[in-house]
Amino acid sequence: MPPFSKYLNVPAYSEEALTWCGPATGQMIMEGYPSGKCQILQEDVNAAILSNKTETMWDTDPVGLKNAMSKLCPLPPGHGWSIFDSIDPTKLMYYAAYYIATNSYPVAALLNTFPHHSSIPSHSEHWVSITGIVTDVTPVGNPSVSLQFVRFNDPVTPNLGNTVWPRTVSAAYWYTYLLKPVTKAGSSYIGKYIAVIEPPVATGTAKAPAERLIGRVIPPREALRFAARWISEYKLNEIQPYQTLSESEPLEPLLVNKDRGGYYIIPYIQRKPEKTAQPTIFINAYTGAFQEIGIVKPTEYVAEEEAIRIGLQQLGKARPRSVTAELVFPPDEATYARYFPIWKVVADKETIGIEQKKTVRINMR
Amino acid sequence: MSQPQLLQITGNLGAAVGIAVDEQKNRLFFVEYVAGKLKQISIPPVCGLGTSIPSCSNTISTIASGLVHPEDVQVDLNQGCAYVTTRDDPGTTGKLWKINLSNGSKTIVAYNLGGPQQLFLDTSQNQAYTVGYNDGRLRLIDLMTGAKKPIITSLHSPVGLVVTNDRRYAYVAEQGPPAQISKIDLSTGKRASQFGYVIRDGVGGISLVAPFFLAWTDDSQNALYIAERDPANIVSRLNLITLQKSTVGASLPWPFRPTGVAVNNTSFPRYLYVTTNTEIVRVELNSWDFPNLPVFLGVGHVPSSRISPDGYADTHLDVGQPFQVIDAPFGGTLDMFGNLTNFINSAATHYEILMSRDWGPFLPISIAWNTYHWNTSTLSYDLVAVAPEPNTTRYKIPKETFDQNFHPELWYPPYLILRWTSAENGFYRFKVKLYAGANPISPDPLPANLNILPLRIDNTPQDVKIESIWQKVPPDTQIHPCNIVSTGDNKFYFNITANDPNNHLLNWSLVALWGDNMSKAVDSDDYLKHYSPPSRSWGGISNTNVPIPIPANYWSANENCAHTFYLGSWKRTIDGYNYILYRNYHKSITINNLPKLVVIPIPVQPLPP
Repeated sequence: MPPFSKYLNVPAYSEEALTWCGPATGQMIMEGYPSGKCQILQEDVNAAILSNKTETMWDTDPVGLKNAMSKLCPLPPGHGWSIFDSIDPTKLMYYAAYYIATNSYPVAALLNTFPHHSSIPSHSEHWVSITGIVTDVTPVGNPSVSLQFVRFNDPVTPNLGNTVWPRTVSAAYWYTYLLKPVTKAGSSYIGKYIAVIEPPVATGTAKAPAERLIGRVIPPREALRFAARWISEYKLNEIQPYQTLSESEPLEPLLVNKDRGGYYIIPYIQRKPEKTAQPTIFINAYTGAFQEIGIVKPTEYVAEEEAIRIGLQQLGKARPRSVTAELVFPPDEATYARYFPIWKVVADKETIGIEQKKTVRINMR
Repeated sequence: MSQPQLLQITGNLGAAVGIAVDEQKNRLFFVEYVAGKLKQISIPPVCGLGTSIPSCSNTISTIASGLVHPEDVQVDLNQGCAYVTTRDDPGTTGKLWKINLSNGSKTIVAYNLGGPQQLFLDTSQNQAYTVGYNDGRLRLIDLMTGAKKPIITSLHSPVGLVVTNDRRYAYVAEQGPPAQISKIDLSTGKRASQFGYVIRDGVGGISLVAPFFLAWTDDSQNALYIAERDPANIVSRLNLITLQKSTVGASLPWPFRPTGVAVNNTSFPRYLYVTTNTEIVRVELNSWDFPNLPVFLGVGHVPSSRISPDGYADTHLDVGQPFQVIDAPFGGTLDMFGNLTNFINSAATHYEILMSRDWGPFLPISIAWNTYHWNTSTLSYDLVAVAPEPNTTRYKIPKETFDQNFHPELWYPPYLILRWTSAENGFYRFKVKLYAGANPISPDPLPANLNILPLRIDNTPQDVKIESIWQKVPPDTQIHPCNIVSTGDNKFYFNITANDPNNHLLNWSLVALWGDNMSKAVDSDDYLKHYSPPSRSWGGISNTNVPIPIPANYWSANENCAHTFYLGSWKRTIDGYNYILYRNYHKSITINNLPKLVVIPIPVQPLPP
């Protein structure tokens, strides 16, 4: 039986302030109404959230987001936004899949409540809009489905104002690394997974296998073979906006987090001279399983030799007795930043981080 | 009034817009709209103008490029960065950039700003304000997160923006139509002026053409400079108190399209820098604009800045000053001193003093007084009369015959502009009007906020009386003046009044006098014990028994003798040099009821044999 898939046409916006993933998510969802786009400035969405929120420890709390959307762009008669909270992520994702399948409205989901901007540690929530799902069978009439892929617009970009492209991730990656319950101290939602969605009319579960976190690392060549397989098997080059895969070539895979939570980044560079967007595929470094496809601006990753040169220069070591370099990234940071891992350079037991912008990060473990 | 001078700093620019002054390092930052660049240029004295060497024009350097139609720049020199608004960035409705002044690196602070124009930086709060020409919004921007708060969303093509020091209000130049300057309450987001605007083109004889950027004239924030583009091509000055608008240097050859304005208030002379389509020009302000100088120097020994808006003197915190008063109204004959030097520098030959009583109309004063003037022949100060010119209310600013200059040192006291004998109580306000000959100088060159001297006048004497003297015999018995007290307890109290109906009492004191220069306090009180700002009221007591019964409620004599009880009281009213209202009252009685000292001889016993 072919899998069931539903992709919505929802505009992708980045957050206009470092604390505005919630307003940006609300803005995207309202502009993605199938009944007609409802265009509201993000700053006005934020103002409505602030005037409606009930838990002060959030920049955007679930009530604030729900009420802001309800007031700024009410749903058609008979419908209304509601907060869905559950301790079971598979129940939440089942209803998200069911809702998208039946109503074609995007869903606001809270990925997690971890800080993700180092400059704003007080901001510890990450809202995204889910715009597509793939399950083994349609969730309508099937209370137990296997969730295969989740597509979402993530408004949190590496730098303010960067273009947002849809992220498509495997369900295993979604559950293992992205979707997490609320941990915000003092919140009434602690321990729950949150989505702003319509009140559920059907219940069920959407399950997926877990990601393997450790194991023997497959070689880069095998990683490339897996990537090509997933492009072909999942027809990734037929899905908007990844069609440029057909006219692109993979670059050398980059191994990140080799010891735990390892993944390969495989950038694809277009053969045509104009390069505006670069599809990038992520696969599990131990199993070769597909994790994610997304798009970034064409990126020239820092080579290992260059990272070592910068690191030694920063550490003031011209001739170290030993030096190593590896790409690392905190596996819990569920943002675009995983596209840009950091070189961890260790020279004579001194450690320094080299970011892809060639800036130095000193607080490396 | 002398004309300001306009000099070119540099030319050949590509639509210069926003401008900011670095007063420490003598340089300007500016953006070029067409070239999309942030640049800096040195200014005198580190370089010269015209054909001077080194020429300021040769010091221009580019800090950052690639900006898409930049509009304004403001600098945070402590952080070593500039903030630049850009209007036409693809995919957004305009951005605010933070630019490193050392290497020109750019980061986005905020975007989708609706065509941002002039920027107001509030570094103390790490925030900024800007207006969106395209969407009519005034926004507050958090410089850390980029969060934007729309304050008002209904401006009409806003371009210029300044914010008051207390961050309560913004003034916005709206191009409309009609063009207008608006005052916005930043806490409510409402227009704060009666008609929704401060001035509007075509209303009340005002002409306002294509207003662009704004700048405060000085730190008093009572006036604005406004760049007005073509076809006016001028820079104007708007007095926010009188709402008078005038052209800065009416006959100045302003280049095409004055756009950005910035004031260097720390230099002397002060300068106004203006960007135009192809040039940056400089105008010296001090030749015609003295907004920071006092108009009234003071009254007697009290500086004008130590007189509260409701007309009371307060110098009690001025350590070391010999004349220390608190909440003191004025009365008697008052010497008022004025800034005659500035009057002359403002092209005045005469002045008029206008007075308003109890918020009534300002009317000119016409009185004469005598003062001293140095006689260069006799080498002594002669008493001379000062009076208005015949049949006018204008006083001539004195210039000496030997050099036709004003010499304040030849007058004693110097800078005396009015000696006024006050009479009826009330709240008086004085202001100065300047004349060139018989013609008022227009626009008024004196800053409106400093051209007011408020004086609270209180010439009413206080009531002071010892109403009665009482002895606690017991029972309590009144002792009339000249009575002799021979019996009963040595315990007395006094019913007194020391009261000012206007609540301006300074103190009272009741003292007993007797014998050979002997004295003993009975009771006293003063204003400082009742000082409770913002109240200035304390009227003393009426028909009250003293000593106030804490801890004792009676006074006792030390010896039998005739006693005079003396009650004295001052009001706080001053003439600028001294307290002037003192009243006293006394009553005398003889106290002769203290036990007599009796010496009893001790019998001497005979010594034993």
